[in-house]
This record gives sequence, C-alpha cells and structure tokens, in this order.
Amino acid sequence: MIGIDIASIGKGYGALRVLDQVSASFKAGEFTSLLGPSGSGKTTLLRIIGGFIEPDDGQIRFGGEDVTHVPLWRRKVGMVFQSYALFPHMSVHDNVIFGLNRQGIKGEAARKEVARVLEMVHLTGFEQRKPKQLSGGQQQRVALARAIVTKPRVLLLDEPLSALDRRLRQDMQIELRRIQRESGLTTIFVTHDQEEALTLSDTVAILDKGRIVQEGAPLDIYERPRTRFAASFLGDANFFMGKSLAGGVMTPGGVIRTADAMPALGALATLAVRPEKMRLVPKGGADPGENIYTVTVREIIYAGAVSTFIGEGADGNQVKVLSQNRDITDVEHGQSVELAWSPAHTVLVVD
Amino acid sequence: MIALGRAFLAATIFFLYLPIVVMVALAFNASPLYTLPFQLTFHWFVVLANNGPLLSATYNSLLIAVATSILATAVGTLASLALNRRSFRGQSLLKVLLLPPIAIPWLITGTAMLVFFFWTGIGRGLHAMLIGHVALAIPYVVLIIGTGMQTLRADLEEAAMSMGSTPVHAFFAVTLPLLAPSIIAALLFAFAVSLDQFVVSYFLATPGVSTLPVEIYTSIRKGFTPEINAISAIFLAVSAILVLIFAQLSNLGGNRDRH
Repeated sequence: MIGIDIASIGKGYGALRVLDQVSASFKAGEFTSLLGPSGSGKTTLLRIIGGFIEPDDGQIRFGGEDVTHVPLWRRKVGMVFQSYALFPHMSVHDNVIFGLNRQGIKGEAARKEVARVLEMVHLTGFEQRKPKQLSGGQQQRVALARAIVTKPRVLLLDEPLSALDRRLRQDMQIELRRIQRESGLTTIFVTHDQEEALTLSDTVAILDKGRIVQEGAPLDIYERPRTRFAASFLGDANFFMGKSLAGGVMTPGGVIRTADAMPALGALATLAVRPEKMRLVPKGGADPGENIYTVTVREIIYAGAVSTFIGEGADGNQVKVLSQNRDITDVEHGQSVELAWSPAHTVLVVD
Repeated sequence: MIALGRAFLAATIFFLYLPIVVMVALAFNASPLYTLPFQLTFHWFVVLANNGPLLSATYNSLLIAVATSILATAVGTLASLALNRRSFRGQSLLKVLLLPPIAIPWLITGTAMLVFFFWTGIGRGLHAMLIGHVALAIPYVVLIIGTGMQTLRADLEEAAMSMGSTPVHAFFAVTLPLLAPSIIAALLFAFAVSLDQFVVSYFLATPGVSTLPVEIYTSIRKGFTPEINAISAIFLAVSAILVLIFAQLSNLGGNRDRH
C-alpha cells in the first residue's frame, strides 16, 4: 500500500484553466472521493493521476516515486470507467486475465488470481459469459474485478455507479466499500453525488472551478464547511448575511450568533446553518442562548419520515428547515413561526 | 403498401436478375446467333479456353481487384484511424476532401488520371490501373471503417493501456478484432469497386494489357460471341461465391457478441 501525492497540478485547454495549482495527498489504503459539479475538473484530475492525460505542470508521486512522465501502461493503476469499458469481444475470464497476462503472469497462477477476484465480486461461474450477457450491476463488478486483479498501486473510479438505478447503486456502494477494504487499495473515487461521497469515503475533497476548496473527513466537511460553495454543494444550507459583530452577524431579521471566531467588526460575513439543525418552536419556546429567527411559512413538503418547511424572513431570506415527523408539527401556510438553533451549529463561511 | 413492395421486388427480379439468367443460359446454348431452341453445349467454354486475350484480361482483373482491396483497405483503415482518433493539422480539410471522389463521375476521374499519369510519367498499364483503383476505393473504405469506429468507444484502448498494454498492443488486442466486421466489409467493397471498374481501366489500359470489362467491351465492338457469355458466367459464379463467403464471415464477426 502506498500513498499518492500530487503537487501544484495545472491543466488548461487553450484559454480554459481546468485545473489550477491543485495539491493533495491521498493516504495509503484510504478511500478518497473527489466531489464536484460537472466542469469542476474532478475527472481531469483523476485522469492525470492515472496517466491518461499529461498535466501542463506539477508533479504526481506514487509513494515517493515521481510518475509524472511515466506512461499510462507502465504506471500500474487500476481504473474503472464510467462506461465500464469492458472488451465486448472477450469473455469475463479473458477481460479479467488481460492485465495479468500483460504483467507476465500466465497459466495456473493467473487463473487462480482470476478465480480469487471473481469470488470477491460474487461472479464465480460467470467466467465464460460475454459482457453483453450480463446486467449493468454485473458488468460493473467485472470492471472492478479487472481493475483490482493486478493489485494496482492505486484504484481509480470514474463515477462507476452513475449508470445504475438507485436501488442497485445503494447495493453497489456497500459492495464497493467492502471490496476496497478487503483489497486494501488506495482508492480515488470521482463523483458528483454528495450522498455517495459521504457514505463511501474516508476523505472527501470538494472541487470547484479547478481547485480543491476543502478536504477532510465526511463528518468534518459536512459539519464545518469552509466556503459557501462547500456548504451548499455538500448537503443543504441556509445562509445569513450581515455585518460582523463580536460573536455573530447583524441581519435585517436580528442578530444571529455563532461560536466561530468572526472577522473584523463591520465586515460583511456569511453564516451557514444546516436545515436539520433548526427546529420550529412556538413563540418564546426557544432555549436560552439559542438563535431565534422569525419566518412566515411559505411551503410545507410532507415526505413521510420527514417534512421540509420553507420559510421567509422579514428581509425575504428563504430558510429551509428539515423536521423529523415524530410528532406532526402543527403549522399552516402563511403562519409566522420562530426557528431556533444553537450557535454551535452556525458556521462562518467565506464566499 | 405491401402490394406495392411486392411489385417493386418483382420488377427488380425481372429487370436485374432475368437478363443475367438469360445470359448464363446462352453461355450453354449451341447457337452462335442466340437462336432457340436451347441446345446444351460446353463448346463456348472450350473456345474461351483458347481465347488468350480474354483469359489474360480476366487474370488481370482478379489480380488488380485483390491487390486493390488489400492496399485500399490497409491505407483506408489507417487513414480512418487517424481521422477519428487523432487530431492533426488539416484534419477537417482531409475529411472533407475524402468524400467528393465518390460523387465525381468516373469518366472525369478517368480522364484526369490519364492526363496526370501521362504528365508525371506514370504512364498506362497494370500499375497505373492499380493506382487508379486504389485511389477510387479508398474513400469507400474510409467511410465504412469510419462508421464502424463510431460504435467503438475510445476508452476501450485506454482500458487496455491502463492494464499494461502499449498503444500498439492495445490496437491489435482490442481495436482490430472489434473492427474486423467493418474491415471485411471494406475489403469486399474495394474488391467490387475494382472488379466493376470500366471507365478508369479503359483509359489506363494499353493494347494487350487490359481488364475483363475493357476486354469484353472491345470484343463486343468487334462482334458478340457467346464465349463472352461463358466468361461472364464463370465470373458471375466466382464473385457471387466470394460475396457470400465474405458476407458470412462479416456476419459471424458481427454476431460474435450475441452468442
């Protein structure tokens, strides 16, 4: 197991900067997600690490070895493509054994390895099938088996689950995590699905406009987003903007307090709050020390286990509240309600 | 609609196949003046066996057709790969320039080639006909292979390379087998373009060195003899068998995934 380091990676196509001075470390044996919207450069970064694209500048190191100019076929990476890219003219067995043969592993030793990974992905008995005779989920698992059978230095996954339907995708997420743990491979996973990134990863790196804006454990990134983009791309967030005070901001709807250190007094600052941290309370029902914000209820979306309320502050600021339906909250459209939440759940973000 | 379709089919058979059937039948008819009743004979095939110019023209036709299909397919496949997979200066211009030759009348192409080959000292003869046929066949090959490449994802070669294939190995292990049906179709098409070719061959033939279509045309002008029917019958049989073999092969290639 080795770690992957990238330093000051830059890539542009003409005037367009796809990646700009990206540096990151992917720890040995860890599962890291590159999360970002389309056009954020996440796939380009993955392809640069794999050697499919050469960066304009910067350096890639696999466990200390500089591989920046090592061609793809000598880089020893395992890649699962979004389209799976299984060889349609070869059986499952031939697809999986391909990489072993290229490494000079042949005969009984190769067959044993193929059997081992096919068992790992629960496809024993499918050796002679052609890719077209397999379901989407099975093709996906062949692609995975093919990528890990050679024990690559890094496993790269390019949105491999995006072509599967929702139910199958959830099953495959669990499978993928199990296989990654069993194989112990350093894994980099590209996705635009925030839920997938949160549930699968040891580390999430959020990309925006060719830069990594935040990197950390899912819990840290979700609970302590550093930028407005990170807060709104990973999960939902409500924002409160106003002039900075000691321990909070002054909004037209009142003072919102936070436990975070604030910038210089009077500067414009933005605070973010997750919808599930807020609750609807009767007037005067907030606990001492809690933030209180009065809104008019504009929308109630009942979804069984949870309900979403959308309220509008006095200044027109839209606020979303997620509420568990343990007891049905009794509010109506147009009603004025108070929202209460702890300053500890109020996070200072930069734009 | 169905009745109309049937009528069309009947007309096709009547006007396309019936003349051919008649011609083949006359190759076995004793009368040199095409008169009935039909009397079975192999006499014209014996006459044909002694007709040196006709036989050598047939040999030339086959030789050029085989050489053309191999050369045009090799060059055309490489051109198609370059046009579809790489980007280089003048690529779009080349793409545009590849198609018009299909639409330019062969008479014009033939005249142009005759003048040009005369100027450049390439001259006339077998080699000139081969160059001409290859040039005519390449656009068809590029078109057929290009269509085949569009169904082939570029990431297959990338996948092979990520597993340790050099670009050359990836091409031979992945791209070439998947392109096989298209390549067989291109071979067949180039073969047909060359075998069928009259106008260009006519311009580039020299007395004594010609192809079968040119020789048949020259013979007819001198007076039609049933040995023309005989060679045509043989030719028809050979090309029909070739087409069927190729079709079967390319079909097998196309079906491999489904079985």
